[in-house]
Amino acid sequence: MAQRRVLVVDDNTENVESLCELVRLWGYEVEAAEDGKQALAVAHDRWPDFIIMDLRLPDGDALDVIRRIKAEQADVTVIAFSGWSDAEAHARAAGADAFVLKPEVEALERVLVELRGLDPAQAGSKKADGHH
Amino acid sequence: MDTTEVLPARREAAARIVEQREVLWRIALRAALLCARAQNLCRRSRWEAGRARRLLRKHVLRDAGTGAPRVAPRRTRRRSGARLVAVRPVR
Repeated sequence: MAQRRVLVVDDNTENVESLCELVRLWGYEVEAAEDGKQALAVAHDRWPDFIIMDLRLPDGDALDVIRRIKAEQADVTVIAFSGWSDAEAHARAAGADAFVLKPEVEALERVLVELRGLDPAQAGSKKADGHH
Repeated sequence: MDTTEVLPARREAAARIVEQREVLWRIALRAALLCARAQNLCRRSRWEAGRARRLLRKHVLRDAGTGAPRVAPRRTRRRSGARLVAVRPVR
């Protein structure tokens, strides 16, 4: 079975390194982006199955980035995370499929497993269809 | 305290909580990563130990009365020591 691809978007270098290695150890192929612009570019090139995105990005509105990615790739699963509990409603309105409140790292793994379990055919068929 | 003082105070408290969550997130990420690395090492270590045990039984302990069934050595074909002689067909 093909490895699921995850795009991690976070501006904090230390956090993004830890998160990338962690997600890799959970069994996913990982790409990283440090801001919204880079996230849009990587998402466009690599068509990840999941995007794990910090809502606090240096170059502007993370919600807008989620909207734009979802407009291009409706079947990508976006998991947003933030320290602000109020951000959940905004993230979901922008198209995020799940929200994780910092510092719940275990919730992140749980959400990844749950979302992967809900629609197992999705990622496989996506690869087979060939988006480009 | 009136409303003009309460609202900024709440905002400030909320911002402080968020900052603390950011710090905790960094620590939690690091802890989760170390935990995942440790589990990975344990898994590999168990696998290596199993492999070492299998190799030990197969190559070292097989004749040492360990209870493992003794495998008979494979017979090799013996070649005749006689010299080859070319025989011409009779016409």
